[in-house]
Amino acid sequence: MKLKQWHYTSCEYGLSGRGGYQTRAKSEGISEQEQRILEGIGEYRQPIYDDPDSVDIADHPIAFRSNHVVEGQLAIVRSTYTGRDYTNRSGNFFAHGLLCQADDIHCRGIDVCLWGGWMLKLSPEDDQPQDSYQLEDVGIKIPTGFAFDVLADFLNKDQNRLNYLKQMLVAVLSGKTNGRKLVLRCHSWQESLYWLACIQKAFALNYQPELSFSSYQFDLHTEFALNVVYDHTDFVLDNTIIEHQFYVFDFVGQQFSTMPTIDNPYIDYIADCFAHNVEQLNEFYDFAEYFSHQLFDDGLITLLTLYQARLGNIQDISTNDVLTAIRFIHQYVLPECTDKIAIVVEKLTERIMQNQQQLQTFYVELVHCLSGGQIVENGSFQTFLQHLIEKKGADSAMLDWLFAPFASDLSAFGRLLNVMTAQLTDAQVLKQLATWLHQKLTTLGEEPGLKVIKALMAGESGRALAIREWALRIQNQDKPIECFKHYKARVFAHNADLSSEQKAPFYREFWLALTDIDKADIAQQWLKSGEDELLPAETLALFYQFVNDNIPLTAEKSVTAQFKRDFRQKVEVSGIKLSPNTLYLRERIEQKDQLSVRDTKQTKAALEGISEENYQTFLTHYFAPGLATFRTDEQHKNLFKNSFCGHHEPTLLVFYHKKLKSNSNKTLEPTFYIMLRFWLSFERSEQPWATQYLHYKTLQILEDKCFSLHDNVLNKISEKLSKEPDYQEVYQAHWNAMLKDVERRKNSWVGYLYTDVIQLIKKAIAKWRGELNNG
Amino acid sequence: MFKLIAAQFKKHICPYCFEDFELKSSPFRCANDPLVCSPEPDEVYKEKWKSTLPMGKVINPKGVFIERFSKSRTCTACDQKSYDRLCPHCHSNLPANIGEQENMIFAVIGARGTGKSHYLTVLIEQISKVVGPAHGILLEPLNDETINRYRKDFYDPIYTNKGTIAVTKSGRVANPTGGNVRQPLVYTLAVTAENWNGDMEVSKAVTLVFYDTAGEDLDSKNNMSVMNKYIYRSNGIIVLIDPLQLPYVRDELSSDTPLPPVDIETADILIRTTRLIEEGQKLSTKDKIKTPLAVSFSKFDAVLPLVDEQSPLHDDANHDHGYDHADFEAVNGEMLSLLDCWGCKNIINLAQTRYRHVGFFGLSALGCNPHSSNTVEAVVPKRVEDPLLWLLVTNNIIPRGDSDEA
Repeated sequence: MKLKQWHYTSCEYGLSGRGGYQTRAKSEGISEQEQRILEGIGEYRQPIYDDPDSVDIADHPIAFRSNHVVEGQLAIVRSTYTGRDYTNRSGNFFAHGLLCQADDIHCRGIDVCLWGGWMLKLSPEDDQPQDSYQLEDVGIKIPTGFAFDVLADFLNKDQNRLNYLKQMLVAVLSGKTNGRKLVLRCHSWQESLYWLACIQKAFALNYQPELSFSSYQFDLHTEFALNVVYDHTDFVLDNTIIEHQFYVFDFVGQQFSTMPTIDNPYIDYIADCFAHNVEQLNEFYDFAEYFSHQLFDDGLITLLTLYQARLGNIQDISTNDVLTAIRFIHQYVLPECTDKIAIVVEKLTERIMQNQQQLQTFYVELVHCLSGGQIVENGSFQTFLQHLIEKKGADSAMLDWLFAPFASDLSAFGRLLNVMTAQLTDAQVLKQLATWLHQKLTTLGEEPGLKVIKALMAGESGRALAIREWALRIQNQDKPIECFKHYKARVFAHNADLSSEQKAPFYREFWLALTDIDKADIAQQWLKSGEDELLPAETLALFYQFVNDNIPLTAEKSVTAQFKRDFRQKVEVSGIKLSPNTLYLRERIEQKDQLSVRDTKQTKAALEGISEENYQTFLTHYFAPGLATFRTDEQHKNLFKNSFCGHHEPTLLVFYHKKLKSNSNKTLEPTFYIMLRFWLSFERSEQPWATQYLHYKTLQILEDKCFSLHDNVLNKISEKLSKEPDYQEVYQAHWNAMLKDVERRKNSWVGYLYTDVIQLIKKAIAKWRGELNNG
Repeated sequence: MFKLIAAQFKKHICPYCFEDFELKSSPFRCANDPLVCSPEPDEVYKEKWKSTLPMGKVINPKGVFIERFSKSRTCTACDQKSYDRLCPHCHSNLPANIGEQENMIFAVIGARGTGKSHYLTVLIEQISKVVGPAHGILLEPLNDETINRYRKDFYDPIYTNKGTIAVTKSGRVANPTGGNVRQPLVYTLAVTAENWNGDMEVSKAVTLVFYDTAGEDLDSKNNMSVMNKYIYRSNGIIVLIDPLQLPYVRDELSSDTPLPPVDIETADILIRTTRLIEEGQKLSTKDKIKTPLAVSFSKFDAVLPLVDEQSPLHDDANHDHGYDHADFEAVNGEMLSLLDCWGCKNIINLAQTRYRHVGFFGLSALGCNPHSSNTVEAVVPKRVEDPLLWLLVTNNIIPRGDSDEA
């Protein structure tokens, strides 16, 4: 820390260019105005002794003076009598001043007085013309001679000193209103400096501008708050001065002004700290520096209240004190210290949380004390809100008064909601808040409501709340499509920088709130405009499914090729799997003559989730023709497998069995044999898609069919076998395997069923063999 | 009565801030016992003089017409009448007789070290104790402040302590340490005469204001707002010039004469003063300045060896029969001659060209040269009263004596 220097005396050579009292030299950067101020502070009038020559120069009082001057600067000057000047005339003095920004030096003026670098005089040999009268800035290490513990020792050395200090503090505080400044007359200049230090250190650095001092004052017309006087000056301590014009502490003459009786907790606290816990003063003063309060008024007591609150001592803080404190905070807290004060606000809130009325008053005061729209950005306020909501929840009544002060400032209203939602972690509270907001906005009317929404959209948390409100809003709309259109025009258009992702939830809520009729209407519009892509992925899937579900399965209702192509492309691009995929099923039905294994697999996938009605339609238009056309059991398997839909198994069974039964007993179609062969060879461990129930029921029908067509079956089998010479070998092996399987499963109900059917087949084979042998 | 009413509307000059004002707009200060009516800070006084000293309550003028012409006003707080009138601009206590008599400011100015404080001290002493009684002039301090200040700062150092006055502090800066350097010495000068009944009575009275300046204060026009007004609003100016600063004189004096350090500003003091009056009175360079100017060479005892022994400057003035104008003429002529000889024609030219009334004087306040010893064993003043008397005559305060006719 560098301080500017200034020297003043009566000398032959100096800055003025002529002899006489003048600024002898100064640091670069000290302006003319600052120089004049320093000259004023440094003024020294020597005491008027009866015999001036009998008094040694060194015995003249030293004037240390400290004053906060223009633009936050602290001037500290040491003036001392030097006797005769270069013209050999008496009355000369030398003043050495230091000037710096008070915030930079971060100490009190009295501390600097003990600096060892003061220049005491300008010797005649130094009073020579110079090239430059410029002084170097000087770096000083702040002396610790007036440290808190040193002062505590001084005060505690005599039991009356603490009482005197309290009286002096009363004087200092009272003097701000009645103009009476403090005057000290001590036994020594050292003692007077101790007293000045005690007074200065009874207040934080913020208050030092009110504590200017002069350790030697000649004249009654002083501007310094603290003055030390000596004999042989104009300061004659008469009754008027003692009782009416100054607060006098004359330790030499034992004269003391009658002090006003003031019960001031601040003074008591400071005295108590000096007596018992002086280290705490450091912490207290650090705390005081969070504020810009500099006045000797009741704010000092409020400051102490806040400090006590910070320490957790809130038991003795009345609700009135809380309200006063909150006013103080928001009048004086430094912007950069707002967060540090948050904890105090929180503690204060705790104090009044139980009383709704006080809480409301507190809140109104809080809002009132904050400046306009800035309130919402205030850290303390945000902490307060968080605390309030955590404790009280988003109760509708509370929210009503919470937002009442913002009724006329809807932008701040919206921003406040933003802040609140940012702090909410409880989804239930957010839901309550959204419900309340929706009701509030409904009351406000559309345009004011949208203004709030616009403000909400500025923040992520606010948007989350807006989405919830939107969901409620759109659910209660008779004409949701028009509502959405208006909302888009007023809100989305106003927030042009909203991304697709940010808009998506609004589209989702809108979509979900629509009736199927409205959905169909909107779907057409969105597919054309591309707005469907603004839907979030999960809703987009619902959207495409809805569109897909509305595609007629059969050709009775037409669907354009363009639509089919575009829709298929959108679905493919989105990666969404449609279940059921009606469009695909429709295409399969349309192209059933091109049945292939691959297609049938896709068909099975497309069937997932199909409605009963559509499944029936599908079976009728796809499955049935397929049954009629397949030629191998592999084809049958694929057709069956891919048309199988777990949800509609009974339907399939009914349909399938109906087909089986519909075969004439006399004219068994070739497909019957394929089906028979398929089901007889069916192994569920290899074909897990079919249920046991299906397997069993189908085999039962086959069995019934076989029994009822006993002869025909046997004949047909024989016929079949005879027509296929190679079949014998193949079939024999197959039957052998079947028999083994039947043997393995003979204890199961399937085994019995197999047994019956196989008996029939055995008979047929035997017959065939007989015919073969006979033939 | 008419005189009283007229005085209310006349512009008066505050002897403290040198602003002009009308009596009718001046407030009063409650002078009651502070126990009864507690003092309080005076914001106007604080603003002007940087002093928050609690003082009696200010009683502002009311709208009531008749009250404006009253010489007293009643304190609204204690119901006590007060006669302490204040300057509306600076709230300094005005002389009690303001409005009743002429308020005259005489400025004593000079460069540093010309002996202004010493001159002022001895002048007051001479007028009040020697010349005054002889001329029927009473010079009385107007208030306690003047008495105390004169006693402490002027009289005691010279007459009691037999020493010299300390260097006058500069009064040009805002001074939070207090400000009696600003406070003028205010006197009432009353001229007495016999009435028709043969009794002595005051025929004319004026308020004299002396303002002890530091030489440095005249250094810059910008830095002396109060000083400026003091000078350009004054009724007469005594410019002190130290002849020991004149190069010719320094060369001619014997080497054993103690000399003050050279001050190069000495020759410029008159130029700066003239420019200051021009600006203050809004005059052009062609206009003659009406303010009488007494160009006075101080410490004249030290340069008497350079003056012809027949010169009246060796003698004291004799104003026993009134102001001796012939003596003035003689001294004036002698001084002009000397200055011409000493290479100071520029001073003569400037003074005679720019000022309508100008006189040249040689005087000695102490009668000795204290430069080396700083002691004054005996004060032997010589012609210190001449400039002031001449200014009083020029301002028609005292009559011109008849010795010239004699």
